[in-house]
Amino acid sequence: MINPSNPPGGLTHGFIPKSARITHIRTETPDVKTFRVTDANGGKPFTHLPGQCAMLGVPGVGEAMFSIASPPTDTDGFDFSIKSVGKLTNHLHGLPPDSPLTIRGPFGKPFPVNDALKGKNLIFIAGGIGIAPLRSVIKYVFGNRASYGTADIIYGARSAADLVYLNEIQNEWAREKNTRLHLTIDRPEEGWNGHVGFVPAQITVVFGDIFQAKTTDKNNFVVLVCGPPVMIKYSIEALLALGFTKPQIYTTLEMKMKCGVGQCGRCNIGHKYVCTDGPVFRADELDELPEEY
Amino acid sequence: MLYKITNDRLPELFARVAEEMPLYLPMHGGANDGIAKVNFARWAGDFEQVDLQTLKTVLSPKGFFFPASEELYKAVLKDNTYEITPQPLNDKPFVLFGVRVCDAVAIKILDGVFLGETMDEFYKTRRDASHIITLACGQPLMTCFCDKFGISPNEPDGDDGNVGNGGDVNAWLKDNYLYWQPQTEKGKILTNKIKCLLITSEEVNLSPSRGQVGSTSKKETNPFAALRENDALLPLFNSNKEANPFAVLRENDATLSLFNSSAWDELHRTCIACGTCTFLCPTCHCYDIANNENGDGNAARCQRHWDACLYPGFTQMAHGNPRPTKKERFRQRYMHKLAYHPQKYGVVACVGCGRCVARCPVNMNILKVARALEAAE
Repeated sequence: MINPSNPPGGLTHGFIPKSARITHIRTETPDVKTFRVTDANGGKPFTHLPGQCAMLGVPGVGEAMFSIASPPTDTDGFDFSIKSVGKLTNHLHGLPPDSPLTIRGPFGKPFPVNDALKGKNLIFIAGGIGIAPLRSVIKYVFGNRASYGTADIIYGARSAADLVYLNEIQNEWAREKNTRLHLTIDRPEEGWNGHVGFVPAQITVVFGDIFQAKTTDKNNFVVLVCGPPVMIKYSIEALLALGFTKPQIYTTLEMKMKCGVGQCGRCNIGHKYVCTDGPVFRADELDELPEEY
Repeated sequence: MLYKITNDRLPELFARVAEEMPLYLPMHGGANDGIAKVNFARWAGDFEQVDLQTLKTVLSPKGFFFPASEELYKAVLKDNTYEITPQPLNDKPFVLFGVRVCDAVAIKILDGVFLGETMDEFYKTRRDASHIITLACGQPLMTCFCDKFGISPNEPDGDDGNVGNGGDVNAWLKDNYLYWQPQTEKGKILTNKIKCLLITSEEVNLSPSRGQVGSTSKKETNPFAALRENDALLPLFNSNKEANPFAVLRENDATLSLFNSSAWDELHRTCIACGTCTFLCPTCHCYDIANNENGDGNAARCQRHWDACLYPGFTQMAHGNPRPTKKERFRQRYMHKLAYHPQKYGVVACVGCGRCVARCPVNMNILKVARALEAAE
């Protein structure tokens, strides 16, 4: 599950980072940038599966857990899409390309791309920066198209300007086979001809007719949800109302983290540690945990 | 094999052990202001300072394995790249003498966290280098309740036969003798080095195994049976297992109902979130990792520090806090010890040392919490 970095000296614990570098920065929205990060030699710092995370650090400033937004099939580094919200993320937003960083990981359990998701029709539901961990799966699916069924992507943000990867979604994702995009923004805007309204409501708008039809086999679908906790909650409710069951729904959670190895006691929800038992949970697994996330 | 040495030769024993490796044992320290301040400190030849009577050192010995602060690595910026230098591991052997049974069991609980799924080499190296010599308590204090966790202060292998204390050597003070019984390979090697000072005890019937102590014929000749009778002096001692307020908390399916218990609404009000309990607790192990700049902007030191889940900043993120008020933070501490830890590791994260009972400035403690939860069930 955990594959701690192995720095010179042979320590096998997960605390010691590798040196890393930002090679490219793409501005996504007014407060989100995507950073391409490699190890100091320009290679991939380690291997990962979609849904897994890494600790990025700036020595002297801080270290935080971010989901890896690129698929494992990318060979030249990792993408991290980071919203500027606090001390470390503000600092990262001020860095130019070629800035040094530290990285350790991968941490956490991935989405079950090689078992539960295989051969299924996939529905991706994302809100705001919640698209970042799903992008890793979405691009992995695009790269292994024959292994999966249809892909429906419902993605919403406050405004069109806040949709992360908008350019990539419109110019690359839209061209993928068996893929439907359903973009939504909270309030109407001039020039916007996509959906308008919160993400959970769009689930019913988009899928209501399909899934109320008796001919659709819902068992052949798996849903991946990521976004703010309140969006996750109401999205799961909307999905259940359409007849989905909780074991068909996966989500990924975030909590404050320091160690990444299930010790420091910050990210636990009940006896589950998000850094090692998560961040990916099945909706029915969440029922067994105290509601503290 | 059971050995003994007369108490008046203890200074010789300690000096001999200290020739082999650094020896730490409970010692008086600081000004005498009426509060016994006894902590583990390094033997420097002054037997007057040694205190083998005080049961509770202010700090538990957990800091020998999981220090209050330690450096993990240095990062130095060189040619636009961070050069990472891990802190060298300290594998220098040392002896901890006089660890009470509860504290020794607490170290085993920490082992579960730090030597489990992800091996913490900083912890493991210190643990491997340690030689733990437990010391039976004799008469317990009013704040002790180790028996509630199957621990006997005078029985190294525990009340229910499966809570071994993990000591390398077990020791007892009785009738002007210190009795010494090696338990592990490390303990035997240490014993061999100091054997010249020890006499083989004729009271060979002593065995830490529960089965033998339980046998009536041997019990009569067991010189420590009298010590075990002191267990009945434990303030919460009750041979009736049903009366154990911690018993219900071990049930995994109780977690959600305990979490949602109305008892928390009142319980947390007394707590001032000072964190004293977390630092004194021998099993509390949550920590912070801090990334401190060296001053010139080109180097930073990454350190691990003890932290407390009772502090608001503990889970504060830029966008919010999943444990927003004292109630959630207070609940987290006790749920962690009484429900989450048992679910994850199969053991309650409390050994009944009673430091929180003795030292909490507002008289809140884990016993009160356990009883209130039981009452609210």
